[in-house]
Amino acid sequence: MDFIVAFVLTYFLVALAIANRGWTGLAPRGARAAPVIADNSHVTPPPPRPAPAHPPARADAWRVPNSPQARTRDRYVAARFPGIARRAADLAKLERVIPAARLFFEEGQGDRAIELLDLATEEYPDSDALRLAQLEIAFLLRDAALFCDRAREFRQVLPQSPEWSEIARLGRHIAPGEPLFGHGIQSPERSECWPATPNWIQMSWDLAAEVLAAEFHRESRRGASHCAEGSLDMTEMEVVS
Amino acid sequence: MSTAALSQLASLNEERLSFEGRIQAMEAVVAGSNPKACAGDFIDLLPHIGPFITALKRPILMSQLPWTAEDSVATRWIYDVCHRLAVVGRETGAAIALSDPSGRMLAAHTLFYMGEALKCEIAIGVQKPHDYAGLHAIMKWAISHRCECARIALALDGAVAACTIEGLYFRALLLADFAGGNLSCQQIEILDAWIVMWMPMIRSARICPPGAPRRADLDSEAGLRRGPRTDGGPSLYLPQPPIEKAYRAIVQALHEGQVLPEKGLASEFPVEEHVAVLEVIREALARSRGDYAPRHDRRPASVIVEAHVGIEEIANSALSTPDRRQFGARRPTDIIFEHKRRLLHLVDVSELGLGFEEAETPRGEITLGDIIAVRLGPASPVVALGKVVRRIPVTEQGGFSLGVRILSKAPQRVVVAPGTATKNAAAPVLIYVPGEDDSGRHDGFLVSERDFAQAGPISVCVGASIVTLRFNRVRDRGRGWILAGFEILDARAAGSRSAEADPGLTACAARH
Repeated sequence: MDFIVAFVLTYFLVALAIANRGWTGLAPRGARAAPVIADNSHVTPPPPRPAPAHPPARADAWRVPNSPQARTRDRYVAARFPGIARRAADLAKLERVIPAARLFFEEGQGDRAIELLDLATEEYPDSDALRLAQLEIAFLLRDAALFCDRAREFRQVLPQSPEWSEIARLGRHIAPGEPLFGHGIQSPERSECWPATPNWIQMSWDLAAEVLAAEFHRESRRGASHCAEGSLDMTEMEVVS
Repeated sequence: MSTAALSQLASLNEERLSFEGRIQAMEAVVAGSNPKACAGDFIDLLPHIGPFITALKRPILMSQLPWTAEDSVATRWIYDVCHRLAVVGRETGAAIALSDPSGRMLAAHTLFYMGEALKCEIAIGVQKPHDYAGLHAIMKWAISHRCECARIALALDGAVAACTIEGLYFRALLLADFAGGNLSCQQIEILDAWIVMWMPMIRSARICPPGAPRRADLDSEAGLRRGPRTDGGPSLYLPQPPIEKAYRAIVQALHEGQVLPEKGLASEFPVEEHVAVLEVIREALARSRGDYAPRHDRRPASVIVEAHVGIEEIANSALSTPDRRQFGARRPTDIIFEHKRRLLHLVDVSELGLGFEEAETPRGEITLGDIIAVRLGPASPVVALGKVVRRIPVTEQGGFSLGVRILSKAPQRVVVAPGTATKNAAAPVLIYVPGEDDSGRHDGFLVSERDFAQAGPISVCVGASIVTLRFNRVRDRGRGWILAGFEILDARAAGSRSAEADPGLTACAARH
């Protein structure tokens, strides 16, 4: 009789333990901050995802020529930077990319300038011209974190570059105390003013083009007598019959 | 129509009727004495109706052709169904006990349907008034029960999405904000997919972060606003850093050649649409950082103006000289070729933009990204040149409300020297768009995409000079046109030796 009572009690205890685990033991203890409420009682589960036909894309899958990732990247570059590149390979044209980045910066689109140079650097990581242009734009944007980040990359990829001393000089201005740039000699009066930049963004010293642009603007406005600019005055508007 | 198409149509109609029957049954229960009885049916519906709605949307959104009457009817049906379900959800939620475990699911599903209905407004027009008070009421209920951040699994677009009530609440508010006509139907689906993907990162703050972040006033009947609230009422702010992080992650994925999300309807749209949405988000983020000036005052107007769309039409009609082209008058060729004018109702004006209402036009639709010019009166020398940045239906009959951002109030057609232009036989049509700055650094030329792609150095006549220039960047772009920045390579007097050597340039100067 005692054996039967003990057996029944043990059976109930084990069943209770299994049931209890079924309710509470499925989720790890640490994962209860944001409870996941799955409406298992009502919602029909969605159909299972089909198994991928090919392994998931790796971060550098775009480097494989003609891969879907390479094509997507090409289309992204063309849509994001029209007139500058029709595909990612066009970013090799430094004579086009660096001035374009400079123009973006000058027009207040610093993030676009950095992104263009980022994309070009990803394509051609050994190009010091691209990295230097990016450093100069980061410097001109007064973005110390970005400058330090790109400078660190530069040092890693191109450790023997003769331009490092110039980078370090700019680095000491924008991020004083950053060990990466060492402790260069700076006279107190010089450290007050913003240092000269090395023109890695290929700004033209020749002002002729700018003078011509101003003259063009003036002549165009003067020559177009029938196209006088004005404010949108409601009294000028008349009904078209 | 083929037999297969007919049977597919019949099957679709049958499914529609089936869903309508289920919704009608729920509406009847809600109207009766025991609304909470339909909570289970309501929650059970999403995994069935969700894939059906996606299947209806896919062919409409993937098509490059103009919408057919059937497409419009299907979109209207999706709106009606989602709107009705949102109402059922709200009323059921209001009736059930606050401690009912299905309360959170009801709230989440209701918010989801509200967002779905709002997305349809791009196609069917804004359905005012929006039930913002209902949205805020659900969020207040969730906050009071401390479940706004609890994760809720919803079956969306063929996969399980980890949602929160807070995330679904801001999703609906953001969709309402972006469904004002500056995104297309495809683009709003992409934006929605991103919001769902990043929903766990959408966490609001009670204290206004720096800048001008978006804000939801919980005690109001309004949608999202910007900046700090001054009257001390309860508000939730959307902090910028998580959204910027999500934006950067999407950009990084595109750098790696991946479109996000990798599955679902949004992943099937062209990369160019994704880039367009990123551009809109970038502008919104910049505005939230406080980089943008406040919107200029709008002045109401009520005049009919003639609009010209596209570079060729603008150059040949809007910018032709007044003696050749009397404003509002019809040319003999117009009558011969039945050239119909495109008349728009100008309804408001600001220094930066124009608001129009367009009746259904016999000359084709004006769409997002079109370049448009209007002369503001017969005696007025002012031609406003702008880009259509907002377009949304306003009437069931096909009228549209258009928002135009002004690019210039002094555009000019430029004479191009023959033979100096592109690889095309014809010289490109160029419209000079002066910038505000006297230095000329913000000036540009409006040019077709084709001419921009093929253009080498181009010589144009300006006063007594002939200027050779080259396009060097894209300042703005739209459907078939580019506003190109340029650099000047050379300038010389029209009578100079080098100009005389080129008969094209001499002719150009003479014409000017």
